[in-house]
Amino acid sequence: MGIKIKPDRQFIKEVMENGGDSVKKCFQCANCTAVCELSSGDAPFPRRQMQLAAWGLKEKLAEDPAVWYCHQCRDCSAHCPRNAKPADAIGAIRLSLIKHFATPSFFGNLLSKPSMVWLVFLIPILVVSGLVFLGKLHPAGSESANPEYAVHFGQFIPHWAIYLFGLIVILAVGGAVNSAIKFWKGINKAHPGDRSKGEGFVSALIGTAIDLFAHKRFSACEENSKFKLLHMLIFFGFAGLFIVTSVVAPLAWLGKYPFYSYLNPLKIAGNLAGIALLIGCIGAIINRLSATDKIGKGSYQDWLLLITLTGVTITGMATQIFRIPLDIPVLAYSSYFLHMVFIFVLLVFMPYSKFAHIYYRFLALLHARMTGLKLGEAKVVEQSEPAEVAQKQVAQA
Amino acid sequence: MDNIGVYICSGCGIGDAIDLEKVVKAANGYKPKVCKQHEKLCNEQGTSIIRQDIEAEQLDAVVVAGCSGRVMTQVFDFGEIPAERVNLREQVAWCHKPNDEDTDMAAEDMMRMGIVKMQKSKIVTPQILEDLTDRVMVVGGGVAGLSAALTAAGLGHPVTLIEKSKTLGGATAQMKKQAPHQAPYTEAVDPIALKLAKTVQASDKIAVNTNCSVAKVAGQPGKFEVSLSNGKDIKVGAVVVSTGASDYDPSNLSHLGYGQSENVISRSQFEQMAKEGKLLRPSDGKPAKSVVFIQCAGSRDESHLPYCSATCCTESLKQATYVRNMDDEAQAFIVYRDMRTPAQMEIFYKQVQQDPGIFLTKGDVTAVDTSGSTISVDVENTLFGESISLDADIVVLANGLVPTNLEGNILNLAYRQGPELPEAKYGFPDSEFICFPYETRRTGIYAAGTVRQPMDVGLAIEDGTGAALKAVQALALYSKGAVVHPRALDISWPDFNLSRCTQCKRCTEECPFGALDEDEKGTPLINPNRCRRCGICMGACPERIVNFENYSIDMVVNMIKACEIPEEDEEKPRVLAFVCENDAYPTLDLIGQNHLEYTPFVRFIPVRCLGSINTVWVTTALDSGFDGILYIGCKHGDDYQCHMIKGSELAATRMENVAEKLQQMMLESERVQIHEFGITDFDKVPAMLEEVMETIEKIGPNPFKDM
Repeated sequence: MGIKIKPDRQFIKEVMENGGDSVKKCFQCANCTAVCELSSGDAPFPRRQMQLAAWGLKEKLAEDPAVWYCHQCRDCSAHCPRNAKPADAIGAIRLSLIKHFATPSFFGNLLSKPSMVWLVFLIPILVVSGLVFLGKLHPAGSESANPEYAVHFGQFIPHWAIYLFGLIVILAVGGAVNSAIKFWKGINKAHPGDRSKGEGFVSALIGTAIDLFAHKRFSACEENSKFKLLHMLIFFGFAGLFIVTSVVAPLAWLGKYPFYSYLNPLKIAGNLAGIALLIGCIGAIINRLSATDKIGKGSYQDWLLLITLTGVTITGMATQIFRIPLDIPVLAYSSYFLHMVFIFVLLVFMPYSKFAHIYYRFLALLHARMTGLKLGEAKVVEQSEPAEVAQKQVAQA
Repeated sequence: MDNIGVYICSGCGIGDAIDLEKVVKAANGYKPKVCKQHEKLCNEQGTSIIRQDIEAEQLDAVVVAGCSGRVMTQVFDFGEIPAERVNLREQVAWCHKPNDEDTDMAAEDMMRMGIVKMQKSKIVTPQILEDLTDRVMVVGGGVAGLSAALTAAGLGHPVTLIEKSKTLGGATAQMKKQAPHQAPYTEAVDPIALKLAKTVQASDKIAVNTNCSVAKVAGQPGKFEVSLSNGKDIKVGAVVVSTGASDYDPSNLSHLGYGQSENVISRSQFEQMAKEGKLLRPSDGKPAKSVVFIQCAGSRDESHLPYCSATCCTESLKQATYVRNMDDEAQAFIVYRDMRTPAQMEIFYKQVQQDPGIFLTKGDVTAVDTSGSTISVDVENTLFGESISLDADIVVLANGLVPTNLEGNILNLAYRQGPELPEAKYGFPDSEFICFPYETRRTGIYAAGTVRQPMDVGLAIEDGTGAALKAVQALALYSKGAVVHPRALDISWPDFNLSRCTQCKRCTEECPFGALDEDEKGTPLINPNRCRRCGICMGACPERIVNFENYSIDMVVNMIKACEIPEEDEEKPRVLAFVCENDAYPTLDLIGQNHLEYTPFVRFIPVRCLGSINTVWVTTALDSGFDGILYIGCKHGDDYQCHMIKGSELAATRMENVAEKLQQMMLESERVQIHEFGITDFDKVPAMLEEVMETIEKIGPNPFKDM
């Protein structure tokens, strides 16, 4: 007696709609597994995941950390003889699983459907408009206002309203933590592994973080060589901005903000990070647009995240420039408004969008370290013909 | 023939490697009418010299010494005047040491044998039978048969189509849909058989006999006398057998649940159910929401059918689409061993795969549990890396195909060797040799469609066309007294000197094509059009009464004797090799074309088949002083390559008689050896010959030498 098969047809449909329309094309030759840098003898990846998805075995995939190892280098798609685009399919599986783990599930549904994109932006527009409206009801007065400038953001949206916005973000983070716990429990139950072979929690945590910062896995990518650089720009750009914001927020609380000089070290750091993010985003957009059909141009969620990130960066830059040195209130306030909208989409919807991969992937890699699974280092056969590799891996699977 | 012209070509390096003056001298020993040398016989000047001589000198045969007889065949075709080609190029100049005494001796012997061959040959007069008919009979009105009938009729031949059941169309006509037979190959289509049947019925060239079978086929190609079960007697020239295949009996598949639950059914039962329009569980009539297809049900299994039926995977894919098209809620699972969708069916497979409600996995079914309300199918070695268990309302066993000729009673041939087509591997009546599709072991009778080998509809259509073309070709050849493949166009025929026959029946038993019947006493009755002119009867006959005008016992005996055997003290051993014309002779040419060198001590005599070698040739060779004798021919056994099917095998069995002869002559058995080569093994032949020469050296010269 093995797994009792109950295909989840809705899941198959979802995967097929989310960019995995080719998942059923897979005929399990396992060329993908042979070329994948992350695949190991213990984890015949992504062939097995293709089969699980084609059969709609969602529960199996939900508790499978391997789905999250992939960093979408798309070597597998390039080598797929059947154009089944395993990279896109795995991406689609991840999106469906993000939705699967989403709390509350409403947001999961909202973010997964291209047809709902209007609502994805309408909600933040309403929320930010509300904040603006609240600002009008309770004007901030002259707190931290600089009379040399006509633009005064504190009067457009008061700082207390921004803190309210922060509270919403924290609620969303709560949702993310909840999903992460569900995921963590699931993978550990299904894949307890051998902890004696793995690292301790702290060591694994540090190791995983270093791997992620170093973009260790990306280096092995063949087909999409620009990918590592672009992801690094986005990753470090975002991280830089996140850190700068985290420093600025308490300063503002203490009334030590804003700074008006572009030479302020925090401002310099923020701008450098912003430029990195912008270059990364634009590069990624060009990269996706110029990708061949075989590699795939990405799913709705890929584009949503990319456009949101780009939107955040451009509106952020514009807000800054329209204030100093241009000092044009209408343009500055409009940019600020849009910036807040994009920030909302990025952060509040984080646990329900592709952005959630930051913690699922982290946890999956952490799990791998803790169970002693050496990704990409335990290749079964190095010199054999692809077909043999595949066969062996199928056999091992 | 006495008026022989000899022409020696010195081109292509022949003159550089061989001392042609010696060859001329050897030829002149036979006092030919003309003996000329030329530097490039194959050009127009060269051939016009020959043509002029034929005219002026009244030549009745020419001997052209130069390149292999397998090249320049048109150039050296002089109509009725036979031209023997002495292969000085590929088999002497290109494969032996140039300007060497032994090379020259090989060339001289070749020359002598060539001239003797012509001297001992007669002009062949074809045997054209009277009362030939150009009617083609097609037995079996399925796709292949309909296609065959239409092809033959389209070429102007009258056709008689025999169908056992009451309607035309065969097995696929009974289907709801058939797998695609033409582009774009993406979805199942209405059975083409129905359309073909209509066209056949509308044809005034095709006489359709339904509810009919063949009671008896007597006679020979070109003039078979056929009695039908409906009382009609007809005369037909050639026959296409397209009786199709039956399903492998599912009651043998109880290990897969057949017979244990009504809900476990065969491929055809499911098809019928789909055709009737509702997929319901036979046990309780509830709609089937989950259908599991088990592939290779009794196929590729030594205890059932050892072969792949080539169509079951496609059929299950097609039937899975029924499940989905008839109920979107329902799902279909296919458990296969290997998904085998030959040729364009891969496109269909790709298409079906896309359906989100069709699930495919490789796997071995370990249990079909019919005890519950739904059937549970356990599968291991799946693509999931673990075992799975599937719930099924209906389990469909994709059982394979069994050729109908195994059921007998198809042709009821009045042949000495039995009433039906001889079976080849797995019971299929194909000749089973890749070069000759449609050929059976009965001349003028061609197999097409699934009776020949498992195939899909598209291939069956092609197969019917192919077999019909073969039949038509045969009829055209018989009208000229020529034979069909593999000696196509040959007009020579075996002449039996029956007054000396001892009724030993070897020829009638051994003929691979069942060409010979017997009278009550056991004297062979010859049916020339059943014969393929291989000469196996000639090789079999202990009385040596079977001969062709241009290929006879006496001819080869004299060719052997024409070779000069050096004295023992000259230390120039001699080996005589009988070389099969079909593959071994071209193999020797290939060695020359690749300029591989081998021993110049072997003399080659081409034979029509190893089976045509008469033991008297062996004794003659040993008497004349040859130290060893080789038979070089095609492979026999399960995957035989013998063009005459049984020739190599017979030669191998007859070796026992040869060994006996050797014993009587007090000679070592190693002196006569049989070697089988595929044409691709040409590079291994020189080493084999070398080894033979070493053996001969070890056992010493033939003691009959110098006697």
